[in-house]
Parts: sequence; structure tokens; C-alpha cells
Amino acid sequence: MGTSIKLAMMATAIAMTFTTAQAATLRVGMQDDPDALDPATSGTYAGRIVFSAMCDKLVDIDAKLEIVPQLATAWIWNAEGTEVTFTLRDGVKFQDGTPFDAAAVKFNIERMKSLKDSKRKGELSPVETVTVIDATHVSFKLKSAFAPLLAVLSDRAGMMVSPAAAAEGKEFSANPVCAGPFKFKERRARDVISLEKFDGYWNAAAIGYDDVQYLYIPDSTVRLSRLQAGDLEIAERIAPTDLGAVRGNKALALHTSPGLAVSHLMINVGNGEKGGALGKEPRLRQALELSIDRNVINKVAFAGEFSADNQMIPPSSIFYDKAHPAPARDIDKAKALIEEVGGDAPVVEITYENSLADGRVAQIIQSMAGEAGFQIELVPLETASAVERYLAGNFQAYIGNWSGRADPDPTLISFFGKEGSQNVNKYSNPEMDKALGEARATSDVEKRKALYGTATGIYLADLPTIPLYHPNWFYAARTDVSGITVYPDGLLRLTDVKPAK
Amino acid sequence: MLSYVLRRLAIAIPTLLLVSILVFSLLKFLPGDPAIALAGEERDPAVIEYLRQKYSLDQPLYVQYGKWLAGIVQGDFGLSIRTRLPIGEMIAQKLPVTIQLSVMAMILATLIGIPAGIIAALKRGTAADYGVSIIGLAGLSVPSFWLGIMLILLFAVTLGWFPSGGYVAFFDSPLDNLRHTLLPSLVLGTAAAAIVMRHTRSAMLQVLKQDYVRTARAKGLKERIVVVRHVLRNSLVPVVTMSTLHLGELLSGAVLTEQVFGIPGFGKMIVDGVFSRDYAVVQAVVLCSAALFLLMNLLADIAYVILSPRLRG
Repeated sequence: MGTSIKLAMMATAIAMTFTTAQAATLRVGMQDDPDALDPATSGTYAGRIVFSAMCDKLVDIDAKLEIVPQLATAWIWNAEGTEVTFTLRDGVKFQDGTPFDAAAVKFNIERMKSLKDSKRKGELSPVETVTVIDATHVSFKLKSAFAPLLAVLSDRAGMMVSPAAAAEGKEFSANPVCAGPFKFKERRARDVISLEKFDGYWNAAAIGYDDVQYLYIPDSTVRLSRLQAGDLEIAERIAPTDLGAVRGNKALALHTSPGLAVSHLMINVGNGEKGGALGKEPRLRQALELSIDRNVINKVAFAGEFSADNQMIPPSSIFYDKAHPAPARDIDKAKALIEEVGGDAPVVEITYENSLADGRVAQIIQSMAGEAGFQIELVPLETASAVERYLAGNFQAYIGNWSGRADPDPTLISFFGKEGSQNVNKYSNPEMDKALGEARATSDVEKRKALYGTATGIYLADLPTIPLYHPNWFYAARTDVSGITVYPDGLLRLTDVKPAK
Repeated sequence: MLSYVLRRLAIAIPTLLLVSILVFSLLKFLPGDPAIALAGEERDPAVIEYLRQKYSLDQPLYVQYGKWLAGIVQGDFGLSIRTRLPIGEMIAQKLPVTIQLSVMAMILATLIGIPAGIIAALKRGTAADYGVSIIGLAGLSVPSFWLGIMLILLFAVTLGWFPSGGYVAFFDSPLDNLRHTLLPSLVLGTAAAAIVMRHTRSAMLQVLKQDYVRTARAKGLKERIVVVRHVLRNSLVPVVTMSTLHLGELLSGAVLTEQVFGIPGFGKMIVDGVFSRDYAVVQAVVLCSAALFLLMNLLADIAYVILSPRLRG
């Protein structure tokens, strides 16, 4: 190869580095690789992070989990709470130029309800029909009053995709088109998803980057080292043990938020003999709870960076029940309860998905509950096998990780409702069903708070599951990125995120 | 020679078929249902049922295998059930990355391993021999993810000479491509270099004992010529075979190194495929790696014949 060619090649390489430096690119390091990029069929948290840049929703949440406008600017409920009418933002276009209007909303909701592999069917099941009133007004008629609907529409169920791109016979997820600030450019499997700024976005002035790249870097330490080296602008889900390195680095800033998720020890209360004595006797479950110190779990497994708590709903929610604080560890009381039931403390087999976090939590529980006399046996399984047992109700105790929702209804109904989709341990209490049923039918916040308080009291007494902690969100970013705010849903919203001057 | 190569290629087809049947049945024995892995957190039973039908998971095994094989024969690897991306395209993106990384690693390994092995053999029993052996043993024992992270901390974070990870295609920017692949190839090459060194050393020692070496020395040839022309050339036969086979192994992907450096190669693709029960992806990658391995095997045999004229029939 001649020297001149080499020089030319080098010059090109340098020129290319230069041009990429000119256009502002935001590179985000992701822990997981998203699944299909279609809001109707997607099932991963990583996918939701990408969607939050690509697909606007009818409504959004704010830091206090209150509903704020996005593609819908206003909404009004009828007196019975069975119909809601949205006013849509005027002049919004999808990234392929298709106008966003009431007909598009109707198309989207019907698509999510009818698509065979749609994962949004359950969330949208309360919606009976969608009626187009005029181009900017659309009404949702519900089967019965359902207050959490807006919270449902603040996530994937409320993401609007272009009807033209989602038409029958097209593989939408290979080329997704939405109405958000960034449009899809390229996806290289298990490597990178690239988006570019959509100039026709309704709020384009608030968008500070020309390109966004989501890079799949599964290891937390590797994500952090690439951020330190300046090869990433943002890294999501920094491990609690790496937070010290972020705090001690002047070039980096930590952005945190309490999370909605919950990690809990589910006990098989209703599947015949599978739960053993622990499944039959609430006093033994209370003894197990009393033998555990949640703060120790948090300190040892998560460097004290998560929130130790005894409820399914996180303290950041207005529906959190302050009347039921976590009980302090009390070995004597636990032993007394075991004695009251009679016999020895039972052997308890804990099944969990073999991750570092769950493994640590299981071992800590094993050691603490052992002091009260429980013999804990650990059954770590690889995820797909563990989940199969979970769904079949084939376990005695299981460490569950639930991502949580902006409204308490989906979490509580799923786990404690008689027909709930996560009620795999077959818990059933008519009082619970009554309280949850009434809570979803009223939009009065104070009444709902009281009803969820009742529900909390019931499940904390029955203990079909022992909530352990809520993970918090940790995003690390370079200080030259401004405007990052993390909400409890843990998504990275790119509105107002700009290169710092 | 040509008929030999053709015959070997013909034998490769039933071998690949056997590999595919084996992988297919092993995957089916794994507990855990791909439809459940796909169904997300909500896990709606209707969706799970639909996914089973859509991906023929409810059909008997031989029907599933037949459908898959029919696709492969027509060059259609199918869609990844997790990302809905065409698997043929995924492989086309990852194959060049894996090949480049493996070849660079092997080049580094031979550049380091062969001279080190020669020194160790010629200076047998001296400090130089022990030194080289200890370094070689260390290179083999150091876990690749640890070495990778240390190299990143030193060369990317502290010194800033190399990027901390990621990949740029050669045709997008050759210079950037080399900067991104040098450290990971070094990590992969370190372990391979140790193996090459050990093989070179023992092969050299064996040849040094041969009568023809004594004859060569006795007829007054310079030591350099004895070593290069007589000893080294004859010692290289097993080293070349071993290196080529090792290259074949590298071509099936290097999970940990890929993960530490964020390199989008075969290794991570296959591991993720297994965990998400994305059968079609795993089968396609394994088949591809098996084909490459067989090819390397063939190349090793051809190199054997070229290097050792006695084997030319």
C-alpha cells in the first residue's frame, strides 16, 4: 500500500472523528438488550428506555407519579367514571409524516387490544370502545369505572404508533414509527440501537441531541469504565457497589430516583401441600418476617442504597400506607409464635432466579431466619427454568421481582386479586377482593388511599408474600450532559436533556 | 490434493447435519419454555398459547426440526423470536467481527508464542527457560475478564490511548477499527500465546534429539541454519495444527472478552440465545461455528501436508 493512500485513509479517519464530534450524540450504556421494538408486544424494561425517546404517550407521569399531558392536552371524566374524553395535541405528526389524530388513537388502542401477541391486552381490558368525536377529540368508554386507566396510558399502552407503519402484513418492530422526539435509524442485534432527531417533533425545541445510541453493555463495571473513559455519556443501572466510584469522580454525576419495583418473598399459600406448614399457617409466616432484618439485607447486599420496606407499594407513592411501618426484627417473638403453633420451625425451600442480587438476599435470609430455628434450603435456578416453576405454582417460597406500576391497582390486583395474573400462589381473601374492587372504581384520591390502607393491613396480616425492599434507580452521566431527571418509573426521558455549555 | 479436499468437504455435510440434530435435541431438553420467556412480565396465558402456535412449539420435534432444516437449505435462518430480526442478518453482522478478532488474536499468539518457545527450548533448564515458562503459565491462568478490565483501566481510562470498548467496522474507519480490536485480541491472544509457546518448546526439544540434527551439526552447519531449517521447520508441524484448531475454537466466540470490551461477536449472541430460549438463534450460530471449525480442521490438515513433504501421497 502506498504512503499516499495510507495518508488519505488516516485523513479520512480523522475527518470522520471530527464530524461525529460536531453533531451531538448521546451514547447510553444499557444493561439489557431490548426485545421487539413494538409497544404492543415489548416486555422488557430496556425496551421502555428506548421507547421513551422514540414513542410519545397520551399522558405522562411526573416525579410525584401524577398524570401530566403529553399527546393528550386535557381529559375529562363523566360523573360515573366510566367514560373519559381526551383533547389531543394539535398538529402532531408521526415520524413518517402521517398526522396524529383521533382516528390514530382509536387504531392504536384497537391494535393493542386485538393483536394476537399483544402484551397490553390485560392492561387495556377495562376499555370497551374508543369513539372518534372529531379530529382532536376521542372518548374511551369503559366496561366499569376504572380510575387507574390514565396511569396505564402513561406507559406502553398509551404509546401511539403510526397506523401506516403498523398496517397489516408489515414487521413493525424491525422499523418502528412513533410520534416521539427521536426516530428509528438502525438496530444491530445485541449491539446498538441508533435513533436520530425527528425535526417534525411537536416539542423539538426542548431536544438537545441530534443522535442517540443505546449500547448493550451488560456488565455494570464495564459500563462504568466506559463512562469514565468518555466513551459513553450516560450509563443506566449502576450497581450499588459502584456508586462510590461515581460519587468520587468529578467528571461524573449521579442521577437517582426511588423506584416503583419491589422484591418480595412469595409463599405458596394456596397450592395444596406445596407450601407446607408455612403455606398453611400465617403465624409461621409472621415468625419468618420477624426473624428477618430488612435493613441488614439492604446494607449487606446493596450497600444500603436501596429502600428496605415491608409493602408492595413504594414509599414514593401517595398511596403508600404509613400506618403499617416495617416491624423491627424480633427473634424472641418469632420463636414464641413458632412455639404457639407447636412443633419445630419448618424447613423452608426458597426458589429464585440465580442472579447475584437474589442469591445474596437468599443467603442473608437463610442465615437470619436460621437464628429463629427455620431451616432454609436454597434452590437457585436459571431464569427460564425458575419462571416456569413460578407460573406453575411449583415452589414453597420464591423471591419475586416485580417492576411495579405508577398506580397501585395493577400491582395489588395482580398479586392479591383472586384472578390476578401474578397470583400464582393462589392467595384468596374476599375482604381483599372487595377493597381492591372498590378502590379501582372510585377516582376520589382520599377514598382510594383509605381502601389501599385496608388492603395493606390485610396482606400484611395474611402475608401471602413478604415484601423485602424497593430498588432505587441509579443513572451515572458525564457532567457535560445537563437536564437529566429520573422519575420513579426509572426511564430516561430526553426532553430538556442537552449538552452543557 | 483436490480430490482429497472435495472428499473432506463431502464428509462435512453429514457431520454438520449430525451437529444440528444434536444441538436441536439438547435445546429441547432444556427446562423453560421459550413462549414463557417471551411473554414478558404480564405472562398472559392467551399470548403464551399464541406464541407456541406461531413458532410451532406445540408441534412434534421432528416437524419443528424439518421446518427449520427446510429454511436453512434455502438459506433462510428465520427470525429471532426475541427481537424479530432476521437471524441471517445478525450472523452477517457478527461473523466478520468474530473472524477479525480470532485471526488477530492468533497472529499475536504466534508472534509471541513461537519465539518464546524457541528460546525456552534452546536455553532449556536455564533462567530464560523458567522465566518464559512462568510468564506462559501466568498468561494461561489469568482470567480473561480480569485481564480485560485491567487493560481497560490502564490503557483506556488512565492513559486514554485506546477506546474503552465497542466496535467500529473496518470499512467505516480502518484506524478506529484497529484501535477497538487491539486490546481484546491481546487478551484472547495471551492465553493462546501460552499454548503456542508450550507446544513449540516441547516439539523443538523432541526434534533437537533427532539423529538428523546431530548429523546437521556434525557436518558443520552454522547453528542458526540448523535451528531454523532443520529443527524449527520440523517442529512447526504440530504447532500449526494446534494453532489452526485453536483458531477454530476462537471462532465460536469468546463470551467474557466480548462482554468486557462490548464487542458484538458470536459468544454473547449464543449465550443470550440460550438464556432467552431463542432456539433459532442458538441453532444458527452453532451450525455456523461448527462449519467454521470443520473448515479450520481441513486447513490444518492441508497445512500439515504442505509443511511435511513426507505426508504428500
